[in-house]
This record gives sequence, structure tokens and C-alpha cells, in this order.
Amino acid sequence: MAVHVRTIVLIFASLLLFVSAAPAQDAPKAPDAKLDGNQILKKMDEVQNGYDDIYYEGPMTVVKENGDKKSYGMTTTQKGGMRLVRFTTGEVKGMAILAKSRNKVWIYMPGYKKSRRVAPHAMKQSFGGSDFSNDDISSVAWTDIWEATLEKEDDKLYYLNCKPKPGAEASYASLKIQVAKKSFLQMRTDYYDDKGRYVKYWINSEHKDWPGGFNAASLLEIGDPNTGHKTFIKINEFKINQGLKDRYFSRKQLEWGR
Amino acid sequence: MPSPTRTPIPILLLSLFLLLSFSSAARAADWTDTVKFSGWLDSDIRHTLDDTRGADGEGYAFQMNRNAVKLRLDIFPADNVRAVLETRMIFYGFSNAGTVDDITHRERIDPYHVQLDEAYLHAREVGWEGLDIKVGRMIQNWGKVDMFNPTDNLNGRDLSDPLDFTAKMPNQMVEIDLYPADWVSFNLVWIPVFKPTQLPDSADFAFAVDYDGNGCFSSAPAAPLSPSVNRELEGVIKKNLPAKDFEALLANNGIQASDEDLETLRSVFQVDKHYRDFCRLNFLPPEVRTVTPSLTMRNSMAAAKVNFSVSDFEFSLSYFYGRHTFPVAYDAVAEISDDPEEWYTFDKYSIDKSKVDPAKLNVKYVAETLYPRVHVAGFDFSYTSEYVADIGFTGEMAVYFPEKTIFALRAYQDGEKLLERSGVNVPKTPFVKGVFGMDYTWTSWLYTNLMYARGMFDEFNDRYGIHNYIVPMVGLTFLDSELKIQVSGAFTPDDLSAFVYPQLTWIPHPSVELIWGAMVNIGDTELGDPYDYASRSRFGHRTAGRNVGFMKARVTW
Amino acid sequence: MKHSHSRTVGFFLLFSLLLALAGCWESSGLDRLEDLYPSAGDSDAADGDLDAPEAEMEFEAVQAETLAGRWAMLMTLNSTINPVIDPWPMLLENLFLVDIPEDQSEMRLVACQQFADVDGIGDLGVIEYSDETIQKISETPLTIPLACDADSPERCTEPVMPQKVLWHWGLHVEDMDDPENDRLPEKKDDPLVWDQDEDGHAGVTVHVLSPLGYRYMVRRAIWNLGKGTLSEDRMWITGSMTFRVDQKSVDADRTLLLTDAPITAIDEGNVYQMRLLETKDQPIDGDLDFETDAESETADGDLDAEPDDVSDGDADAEAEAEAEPEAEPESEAAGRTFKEGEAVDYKYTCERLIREYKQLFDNAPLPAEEK
Repeated sequence: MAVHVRTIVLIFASLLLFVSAAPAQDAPKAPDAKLDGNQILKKMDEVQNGYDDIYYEGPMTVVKENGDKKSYGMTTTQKGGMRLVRFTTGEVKGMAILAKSRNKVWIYMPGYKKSRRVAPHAMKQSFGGSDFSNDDISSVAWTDIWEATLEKEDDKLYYLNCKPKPGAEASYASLKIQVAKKSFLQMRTDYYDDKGRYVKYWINSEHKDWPGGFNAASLLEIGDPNTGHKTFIKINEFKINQGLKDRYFSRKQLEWGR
Repeated sequence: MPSPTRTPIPILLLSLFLLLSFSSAARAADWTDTVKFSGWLDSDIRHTLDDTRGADGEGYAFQMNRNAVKLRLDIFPADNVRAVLETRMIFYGFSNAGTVDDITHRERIDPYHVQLDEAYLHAREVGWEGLDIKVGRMIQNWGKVDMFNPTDNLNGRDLSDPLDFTAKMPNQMVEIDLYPADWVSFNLVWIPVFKPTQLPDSADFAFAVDYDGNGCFSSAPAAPLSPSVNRELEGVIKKNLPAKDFEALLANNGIQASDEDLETLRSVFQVDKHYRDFCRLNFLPPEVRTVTPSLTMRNSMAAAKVNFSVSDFEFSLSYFYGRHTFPVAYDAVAEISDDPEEWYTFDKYSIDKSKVDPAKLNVKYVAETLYPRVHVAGFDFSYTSEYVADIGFTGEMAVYFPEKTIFALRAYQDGEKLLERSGVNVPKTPFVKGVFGMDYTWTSWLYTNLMYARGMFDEFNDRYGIHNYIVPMVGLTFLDSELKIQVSGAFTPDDLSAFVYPQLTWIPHPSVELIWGAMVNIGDTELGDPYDYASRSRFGHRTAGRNVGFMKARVTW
Repeated sequence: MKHSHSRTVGFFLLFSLLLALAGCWESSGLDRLEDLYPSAGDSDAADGDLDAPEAEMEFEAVQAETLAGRWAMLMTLNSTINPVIDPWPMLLENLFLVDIPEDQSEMRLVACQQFADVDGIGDLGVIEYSDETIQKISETPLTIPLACDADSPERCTEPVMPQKVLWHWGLHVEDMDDPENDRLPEKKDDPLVWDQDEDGHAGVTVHVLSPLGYRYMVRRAIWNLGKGTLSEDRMWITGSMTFRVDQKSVDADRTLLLTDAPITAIDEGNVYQMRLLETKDQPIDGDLDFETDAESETADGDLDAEPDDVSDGDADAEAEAEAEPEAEPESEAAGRTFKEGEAVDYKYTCERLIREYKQLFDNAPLPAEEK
């Protein structure tokens, strides 16, 4: 099997995790009582995973250091910790990935006309030169791994400083997360390694109200602050609560092609 | 170059028509919801890298100049219904025109063929949410291992392109899938009519007659009998050849004989009887026929598989009843004729008179092959866990219960049976094919895969036997995945032959792949023992195909 | 869950049934050829010697826990022979019946025939041995020790240990200083020369087909047997070997044949293969013999009647029997004397082996190093 076939896997399986949405009309109000960092992070988790299911579609664009760009179309469907990603353009068109959990991932390759389980080691690979990594997908719930302290706040944002929980496996030494006060949506995250170096950033922007009555970012950007290499996901269509059953996230569906 | 077969039905046009029909009909409701269109355009130029594995005098030349278009439609007329149509149109790029008349016909100047790779209906949740049915022309892919799947015997192989050696022949079948629970599923497949493997062009060399530098007969293919029987057969033919120039032979050995001595030596050596001149032998091109199973229900094939998924361990138990899709030698007849107009054995078949040389001893050889029946009991698994160093393990094992096949050989001369020999070609003893593999990604740019395989697709424990293979692969990815290097191959310790298949892929834009590579076979090109059917080197012998370098360009949509 | 289990059980029942049917399958190329080219009306060649041995026969497997029994042995030896101008390839096939006693301590070889297939000019240099000559040669004991423990036969997976075996023809070996290396006698009146086949000519008699005549010769074959391995089904013992053949013409019925035709061994591709034929408890099924009983009896008359002749003709054995009347009574099998209790009335004969050996060894396994 070609290398690039495996590569795709978790990178795209992860994408959904970056998408966060909040009901447009029922956005939780900032409580009067002051919240601590962990409470804010928990609220953020609840907002981002607070729908029965999510579907979105849009291209991923990789921007290289020299400004060259390349794009791949994809759709993503998610329910709870399960997600199904399909590629709609490029040399990988027709390929699909089903992630039922971090370690249970299958890939469907149209060239081979069969799906197969992906080993954990394959998650080390990257796809299409994007800035996503395997660990980006492992954080289904931020509060599972991170402890947050409220560093500061202003009119619009909470500024959280996060450290790994004792015993939790994390690939970064610390994170700084900006959370919208009004919606508790994740707005920006900066990643630092164990030597305190700033190694990665991720920004959700261009929030808008989507059909169905909720508000969410329509542009995701993740990149390397040191090289200028970055990856965008531009969301064109966003749906929630379509009544998907758990069995939608099955190998059978993976091979169905739609 | 594969012989293009021209299909009377322009399937490609049909598919385009369907596409347009669907798109028109469904436009109002957004047709992209009901029809998914995909495919690729592939341009492939190959040049030979050796002059040892082809026909004599073939030399170095372009081996392929192919353009292929694949069009696929996935049509979803209802929520749980899918129709799949996949066609391919292939233009070969080599002219078949040999006459002035030919060059007045486009299809001879520019040969092509159209094939229907898949065309089936897939209905889900038929009467029960766990029941799926598929009917139509399909390709099944059983087994957990990449490429070599001994448990996968439902489709024949499509070896028309030696570089795409995992391709399969589609066949009409009915499939019922049951999904009673998350952890278990069943597949039941019925294949009404057997369809064989398409062999590569180089397969002809398995039956080729060899000639020496003077154009004289050198050797004929060995039959799947013991070497001594093959020697015996040659002896029968040799005995009928005219004598050589004995005087010249003595002179070549530095012996000057008087006329009297010469006569004595002639007598002692029985020259007129035994000292034969192979240049006087005209071995007509061997003809190999296949005995195809009749179109009866008894010859239909069936398979069943039950799949389990338990934590990090996935496995299947499978069963297949059908036929080996590669031909196995069954019988052969050689007829020796002094008179090119008189053939006893082959009256019922046409003899190409243009190949008959009245000045020589003509030998016609016709062999038959068949597709033996077989039961296959299979087991396959994959295990991936972070607890075992993240390594992925896969394996398959299949026990084959073959139909015993006895090969028989006869030789005739002028209607007289000179020789009859037979021997077991495929014993009824069950045999095992298996694969075990592991893969690992070392870094974001380095991936490796290693497999051990016992038995290739075509092996069926006939006299050639079952061989062992080590199949390694290394993949490297650079420049934001735009540049990929993959080196794969296989080595068999049984005869120390191998192939190496390096490829360099550049993806300058998404959807566009430019690939440079080569397929290089390594091993003995000559037979270890020309009388021994099993002495052919797996990858060295010319049946493995030419060494080629290639450049491909593909755009996917 | 119950539902899916019953499906699984049904699946495997069906599977087992189909597997059971597998044993009935067979496609015979012989039948196919007969359909395409019926033999009726064929010339006599169809009934000739060439056809008979290849009649399709099934040799049923013999189940045996020990190696004891009668085996067929085929040695396939590659060599060249140089009768006149050039050396020509020669394939030697030595055929033996081999009896292994219950204690598995040794194997006793009875020579059945030697075939020499010379790839040269016609029959030039091709030789034959008469049944009588072979019979007399077989009377001289040729015993090869085995590396087996009678008490644990299941461990005897490599019964033949690497060893050197000497086989002399027409020579008084007991008078040789170094049977392996002594120069062979060149004259018929040399005291070392023994009229072993008792035909009145020195040495052993060889029938030469071209130039036609008889050569009287002495011969020494030296086999370096490699390890012999028992197959998993305990039906085969196979091993590689190298060999050397020294021979001298001590006399001939025409001068031309006094010239020696040296045989040079080729070191590759030489194997010995043994196939279990029958055991004490499982005599070979007589029905498998495609000859009529009358023919079999006739055949037995040639070679299988030999034990009486052997006993009578074996002066040493006879003398020994006379000198030691209290010794254990002996009986014969395959031309060799066995102690009482060991003697087994095996059915398979040399004659039958000569007829059937091609078929018998058609699918014989090769030693691992020869595959």
C-alpha cells in the first residue's frame, strides 16, 4: 500500500475536532460568578461536543513557506468520538477514513476497493504536507488531558494557560487557549514544547450563523509560527443534529461511498 | 502489448450517457446528491531494459505507449440503493496496421479496447437493517494482507499489465452480507459462471520452443513429468531425425578417417540411425488450449466468510469452493510427420500450413490445460495495538484441497502411437498457502513493510510446486508529501530469484501524479534442467516478463 | 447472539461436508487423451512396453510407526561416460529393494537393476545387465547401518547418517588391502577377479549394445551418502549423495570392448530416494498389480524365486549353517537371509519395481538441498 494512503488517516480524522460550534440563539451567557480555568475549559468542551452529530464540508488548503498552495476537498461527519472523513478531490479522491476512537481507525482505498485497519504507527505520518499531526486528534475532550488556569480575561476572551494533567500523555508541554466569553467557543490555541518554544498555533475565525441556528467558525487555520507553513480549512457547509445513528460510523458505511 | 479486444458495445459511451441522463434528471434536485462521478486519465510509456527475456531478436524497444481513461459512476437513486458503473477505455498507442487496407481503418492504426470493470447493484437494509445484497459484475477483495491474499480466490487475476499484478478480473456474482452485530458479519457469495485469469503476454514463453544461433531446434518446453520421461520424449523425436554430417563431425574432433575407416565408424556409431541433425527438425509453434468448465450449475462457485472484530484483533474464517483460475497442464500430444500433408492426430484441428517445412521433420505439439476444482479453508487476521510497539501485524493462511490432476502425454508418428506417459501433476494432498506481514512507520517520512508469503497467486502445488517469498517494501516521503520514493520487490530463496520495483512519484499539484520507475527481474534466465518442469527460475525466466523502465502521468478527478 | 452462533455452526457443517467431497475429485489427462484420440485401432505400440507401466495406478499410503518394512530405493546419479570421442552425459539409475528389520538397526539392499541412459550417439556405450547377473550381484550383502533407536521410533527423523558405502562387483574384496583405493585388476586371471555371476567369465558380464558384444569387468562404486531425512508422512526417505565409479574390463568377447569407457561422476543432482512399499502388517495390495496372476507368477519365477538359489549358491552361508547347526534357523526374504522372527513374506518384487519405478518415484520428494 502506498505510503500516502496511510498518511491520510488521522490527520483528517482529526479535523472535526477542531470545529467548534455554539447555538447562535442560545449561546450561554457569561455567568456572573467568576469561573476558574478548568470550569471554562469544561464549558468549552461541552459547547464543542454539545451536538448529537455534526457534518461539514470544505477544502483544506496547505500554504507552504514560499506561498505555494494546494487544496484537497473533504467532508467530515462526527458523532461523539466517532468520525468519518471522505476526500472529494485530488489524487486521494474516494478515499475515506473512519475513526471510532483514537486507536480504532480504518481506511478505505478506492484503488484496492477494500478497507483495512490502520496501525497506530501510521499516525506518525502527515498528509499532503499539512500541519496536522496525530496528537491533534487524540484530544477528543480537552479536559481529559489538560488542566487550565485562567491567566487573564478581557471583554471578549478568557486566556487559559494549560498544562498536562498528571499521568496524561500529551505531545506539548503547555497550551495557551483563548475562549470566547460569549459563546465559549475555542478561538485560538498556541502550543509550546518542553523547552518553552512556541511551535504551533491554531486559530478559529470568521464565525457565522449557519442554517439550523448555530454559530461556528468557518475558517480554521493551523500553522508553524517559525516557518510560516500553515494549513487552512474553509468550511462551506455546516450541519448539525441530522439524526445520524451510531451504525452510520461503521466499516459498511465507510465502503458505501456516500 | 496486450491484444486489444474491441468490444462491440461502447460501454464508455453508455456510461457517459447514463451520467448525462442522471445529471439531467436530477438536476432540479441537485444531481450531485445522487450521482458521484470519478475516474482518472493515465498515460503510460514503457521501454525495455533488457534483451534477454523476450523473443529472440526483439531487442530494446518501447514496450507500452498506453493511454487509459477510467470513468466511474456511483449512483444513489434512493437512500439505501447504489448502482456502481466503472469502465475503462484503453488505447495502446501501437499501430496494428500491416497492410494498405489496414491503414484505411482507424481502429487498426489506433487500437483500443473498452472494459467494464464493475457494474452492480448494492441494496442495503433489505427487509432487515443488517442485510445487504449486491448483484452484478464485481471484484471481491478478501483477506487482511496487502496484495497477496491466499484466502481470496473469487475473482481471477488480470495480469495483462505486469506492473499492476494485483489487478483482478471482474465477474458476475451475487453477494449477501449480514451484519448481525458490531463484532461479527457474514459474506456469502455465489458466482454462477467461472472466469479465468488473464495471463500476461510473457506467459507464452512457458510453451516456447528454443532455437540455437543457427536457427536450429534447441529445446522444447518440458512437460510436467519426470525429467527422465521428458528425455525419453525427446529421444523419440530425435530418433526420427536425419543423420548429421558425420565426416564433418570427426574432422571437428581432429579425426582424419579414410573412406574405409569412415564406413567402419559409421557402422559402429550407427550414424544413420542415431546421429541426428536438429537443424532438420521443424517444431511447429506449440498450441496450448484450455479446457473450460461447462456452463452448468455444478460448475458455479460459492464462498462464505465470517468476520470478527474483537478489540484490537480482527479475523475472518472463510471457505471457497470453485476453481483455480490459472490453467494447469492436463495433457499433451506430439505428432511427428515426415509428410506435411498427413497428420493423424490433428485432423480435427487446423495446422498452419505456412509453418510446415516439407524438407524437414515436422513436429506439432498441442497441450491442454484445465482449471482444477478446489476447496479452500481460510483464516486471516490483523492485529494493531500500541501495546506491541505500534507495529501492525497481518496474516493469512489458506488450506487448499485440490482436485487431483493427472497429466498425460502421447507421441504419435503417422498415426502410430509411439509413447504414452502420465504422472500426477497436482496431487490430491491438501497444501497450504500463507502470508504473514508487519509494517511500521518509523518517522513521518519513512514507512516499511515486510511480508513472508508461501505460494503466489498462480501456484497450485503442481509439479512447479509452492515457493516461498520474502516481500519487503520501503516508502519515503519528502517535500510536504509531494515527492515519494517507494522501493518494493520480492525474493524467493527457493531459486534465488527476485524482482525489484522502484518508483519515484512527484505530485506537483493535487490530483496530478508523475511516476518514474522500473521493474527489474533478477535470476537465472536459463532453465536449470531443460527436462525438469520445475527448474524454471521464478523471476529470472522470461515468463516473468521483460525488465522495463516506465514513466506514467495520471490525473484523478 | 444465539442467532449468529447457529449461523456459524451451519456454515462450518456445510464447509465440512464440502471438504469431505474433495476426496472424490480427479481429472485424468489419460482419460482425456483417450477421449480425444481413442486407442481403438491404434497400432501395436499402444499395447507395447512403453504404455503398460504408465497405466494409472494409485499407490496407497502405508501407515507405519517404525521404519520396518520393505522399501523401494532409487539412486539417481549424474555422470559422463567416454566410450570413444567425447564424454557424454549419462544418467545412472540404481534400483534396490530395501528391507528394514524391526529393530531399525540397518537397511539391507537388494539390487534389482541398474539403468544407464547415455545421451550420446544412438546406443553407443549403452550397457545392460542380465537379470541373472543382477541377481548374483544382489546375493552379496550390502548393508547400511541406520541411526535409529528401536525404542523410540518417533525420533528417527533422519535415519540415514552421512556415510561411505562401497559396492564391489566381480572382486574378492576380502583379499584387497584397501578396498576403497586399491588399483583394480586389469587381467582376467588376476586372483582378485571373481566370477561373481557364475557364468564362466571373469568378473561380471555386461551386455554392450553398441558396439554389440559382452564385456567382462570388475567394478567399484563408492557412495558418499548424505543425511537421509524421513518425510512427515513417514513414506519417504531422501538424501543427497556423491559417488565415484571405477571399472576395468578384464575380458571381452571382442577386442573393441576391452577398451574401458571411464565414468566420471558429476557432483550435483545425485540423490537417493526411498519409498515405503509395505510393512509386516500392511502387505501391499495385490490388486494394484496390473498384471494377471499368471504373469506375476511368471515374474516371480525370475527374480523372486531367487532366495532358494541364493541360499543354495551362497557357499559361506551354507558352510556356516553346516558348522553351526544350533544357530537360529533362517528364512529368506528378498534374497537375503534373516533371523527367524524377522523374516517377512513381502510381496513386492524386483520385477514389479522395475516395471513401476518411474511411476512410483514420479512425485518423489527431493532432499531439501536438491529442491
